[in-house]
Amino acid sequence: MGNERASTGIAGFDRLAAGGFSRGTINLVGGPAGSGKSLFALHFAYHGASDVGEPALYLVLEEPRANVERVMSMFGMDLRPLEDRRVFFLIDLGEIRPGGKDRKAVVGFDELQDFLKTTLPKTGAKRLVVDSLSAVGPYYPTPEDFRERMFSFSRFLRNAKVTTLLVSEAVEGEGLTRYGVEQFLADSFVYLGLEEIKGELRRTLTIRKMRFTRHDTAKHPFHIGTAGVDVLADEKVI
Amino acid sequence: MEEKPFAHAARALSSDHGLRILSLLKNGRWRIASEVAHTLGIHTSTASKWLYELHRGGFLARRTRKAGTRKAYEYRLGSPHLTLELDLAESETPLEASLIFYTDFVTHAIELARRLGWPGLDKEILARLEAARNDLKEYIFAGIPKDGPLRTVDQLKRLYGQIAAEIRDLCTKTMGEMAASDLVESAYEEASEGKEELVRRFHLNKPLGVA
Repeated sequence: MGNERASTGIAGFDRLAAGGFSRGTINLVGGPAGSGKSLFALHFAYHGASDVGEPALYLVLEEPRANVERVMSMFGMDLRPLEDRRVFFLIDLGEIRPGGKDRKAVVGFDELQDFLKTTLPKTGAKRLVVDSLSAVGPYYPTPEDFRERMFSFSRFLRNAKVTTLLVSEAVEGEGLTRYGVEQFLADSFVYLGLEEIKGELRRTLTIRKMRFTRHDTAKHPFHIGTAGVDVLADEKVI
Repeated sequence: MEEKPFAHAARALSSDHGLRILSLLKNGRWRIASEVAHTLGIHTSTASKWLYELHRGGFLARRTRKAGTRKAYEYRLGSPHLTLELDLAESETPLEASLIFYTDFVTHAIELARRLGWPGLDKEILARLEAARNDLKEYIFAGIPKDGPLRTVDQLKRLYGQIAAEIRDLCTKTMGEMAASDLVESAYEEASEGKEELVRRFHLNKPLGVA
């Protein structure tokens, strides 16, 4: 099982997911703003590059790179040595967005694909994070266009033999994902929730879908501590 | 008048013979060099040289006189009232401003490559430019001053067209054609901020391959 799974380094999650994501698949982590999606994705990428010899390419589309560096530093992820060894690539594609403030989206799927076609072989990346799809969606005039291009992009990723984690932000009260189609095209869908219980926001994690895997389906609490995401696999939120 | 013709005119007028020749031709009649030389008591080659210089300076009109198989230039003064104007705004500023624009473009491209986060891409661009154009600094700084080889905006555009192509080529090999185009376009947008009129007037975008 070990070789077939791409562990995330989040022990509780890996237990729930039979060891991690299935290698070479396309996975989606969704949830509302502030639910910990990017941190979850950073764990996945950093653990791959740092601990299991799988170079990672992390594409930032919305946040400035400096913010991501800051988050990594806060949770003890030392980026510089991995960059020097060329096993972690943190690329801020938002920086080269032409059109200034008037442009609605950073890139379309075709541009992402063109970028990855060159960079995946060059980096030898085995893990890919796209953070986030929310920056790609507005590029397309209709949800049908988005779905069609994402479908084509998914096919490209499957052929690229890379384990992909796509980040998608949900708008509260409007469904689990931003465009309502991302979860259908992905092989797995992990939802991070923020629930108000007795006046406090509690974080929850649910594996809503994971193809080819006997996975846990319960809603579990998780915390963000000094070491990052800590999923309480033995506890459930009822 | 731009700087170069002005310099010719000033040199011709300040010579020993410039004003004497103009005075001789003030009646508007066409004269050839030998006639001028004879009247002023100077050598024909001297008269010929200064007639040519005064013509280049814009003071004298010139035409060809044919006598059998022989041809000679003849000159005359168009008007006895001479005006010498130098428009520095027209001759200097576009070249210097264009140089600043293109230098900004390269600076922004390198800075964007650094902020993008691709390890070493900014340094690779610098290294490539130094290797490909190791004479760049000398060419620009020795080229722009008086009598240097870099005298026109068009020459500058050709030079920076090559530099932009080097940047685009390296970025394409590193991260694909579309991202490379985005980087070049973004660098262009940042460099042209506040200089839109200059860019539009001299089509400075064209050598960079951006619309």
